[in-house]
Amino acid sequence: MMRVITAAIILLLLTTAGCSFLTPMQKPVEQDNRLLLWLPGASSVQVLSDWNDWGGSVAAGGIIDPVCGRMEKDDSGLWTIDLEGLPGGVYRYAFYVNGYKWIRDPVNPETAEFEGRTVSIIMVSK
Amino acid sequence: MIIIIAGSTDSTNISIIPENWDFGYDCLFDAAASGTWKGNHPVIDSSYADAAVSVRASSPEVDFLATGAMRSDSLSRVVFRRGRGVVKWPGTPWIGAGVYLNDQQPFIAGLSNPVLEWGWVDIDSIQGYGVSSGGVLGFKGDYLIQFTQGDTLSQLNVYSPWMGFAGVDYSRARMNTADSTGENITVNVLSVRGDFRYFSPWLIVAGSEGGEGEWAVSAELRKIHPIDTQWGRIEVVPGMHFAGDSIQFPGSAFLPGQSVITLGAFLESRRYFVSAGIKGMLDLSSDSLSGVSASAGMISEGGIATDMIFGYYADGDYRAYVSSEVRDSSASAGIAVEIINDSTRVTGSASYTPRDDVCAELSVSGDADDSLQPACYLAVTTALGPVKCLFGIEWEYDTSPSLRINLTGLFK
Repeated sequence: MMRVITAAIILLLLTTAGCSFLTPMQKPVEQDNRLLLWLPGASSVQVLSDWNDWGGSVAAGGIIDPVCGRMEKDDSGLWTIDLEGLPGGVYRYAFYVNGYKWIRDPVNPETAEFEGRTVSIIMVSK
Repeated sequence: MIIIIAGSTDSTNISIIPENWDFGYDCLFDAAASGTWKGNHPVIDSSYADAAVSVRASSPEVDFLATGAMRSDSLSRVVFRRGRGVVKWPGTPWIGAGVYLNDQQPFIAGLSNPVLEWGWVDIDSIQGYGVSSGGVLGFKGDYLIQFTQGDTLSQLNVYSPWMGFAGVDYSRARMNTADSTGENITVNVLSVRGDFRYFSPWLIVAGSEGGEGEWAVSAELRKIHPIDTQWGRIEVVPGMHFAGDSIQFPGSAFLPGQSVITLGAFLESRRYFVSAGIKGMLDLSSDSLSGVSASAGMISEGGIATDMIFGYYADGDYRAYVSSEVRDSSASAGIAVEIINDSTRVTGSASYTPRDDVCAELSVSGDADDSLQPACYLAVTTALGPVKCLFGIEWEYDTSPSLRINLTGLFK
């Protein structure tokens, strides 16, 4: 019971913290066909996905090509990658941060599983 | 009279590189060492170094690629080779044919980059050969045959181009086992995707040959937007997944006997970093997969990133994950709570970025009960162009700290 109360308090605090700045950040105007991640402190961010064989990690036993799916950072800390030219399909993807950390797209509500991780889904139409 | 005329050679018309040819190389390397802290000094327990070098030449008519790869660790050193040749119809990149040869295959079939597949199979047990071609009207296909310890795996893939409103892919894989008592497996997969004005259907039909009920179908309807404004839109996604009782597939793409209906609704903003979604799943054969899941995420103007995932299932299992992080260009701090049934784990994290290509991160976690089970992880990472370096220290309750150094790079 104590654990549940503790968790509830922490959840309440987190929610309160999240709501303390209720105005969401605005996206750049030209954001079609691009993936975006706002992470100003990261030293590197890659997109690993079905479309690039997860950076080679699926078959590579963990070796991820360090330039595969590399995103570019602008002055505001926004990492972007252009998906132009990608064949139509439904793809799973995740962001690979600082060369070791997997995170799902925090502003994409559609999720899936990949090797025990929660990742994101994107549909590319052609 | 002697007249000496000296001058530089006009090099614009003289070159050892033929006109219209392009040459290049890739070099991928990955090295790591890990160990534990014993006494007052670190002890290296294991290490390895992988490297792959590719040299390629291409012209409008042909492509050639040669790759050599090496893995070296404390126990052994192995070397592999790979070659590939492709003939193209000049000026029409979708017409052509190729052949490649993998010697003791550590490579992914069909890929031209120096990517290795260590660990996927026994690295010295497979030889593979294949052909690939591009056909008229944009169709592409490839055929691969691999031999491993007497077993034979053949694979055929055919990909259609996008035909304006639909695209079709077909794959067939067959495994013939050397053991007469073993079971041969054949898998056929047809994938159809359409894109119409008001909806976009996606259909996958799969079958494994032999017996009854060995087939499966998975379908979703996408692009249904009951609300679509300049601010954002809501997408409703109905779907179904059905698999026969005795279906056999490598991996777990289809679970035998699985019959599931899904319905999801997802909010995506065009203007702001905010989203939300809810998805229900009804398991027609049992209650094990029935449940509801929801997620939401937002990045605020104040620099707070919030992420939430909840799930509740008919068998009583539940899961919740909430994280909130304050981010800045030079530092961040956050807290995350993960609840899985009766267990609750809290993780605090902080990072410092002294310059754009260097980041130091520390995370500390513990169970929210009497056992606590604390753990922490410190990582310092650098990304200097195509070279990345990681130095990490991990410690869990009642164990010695472990260390890891990793260096990865790709030069072109």
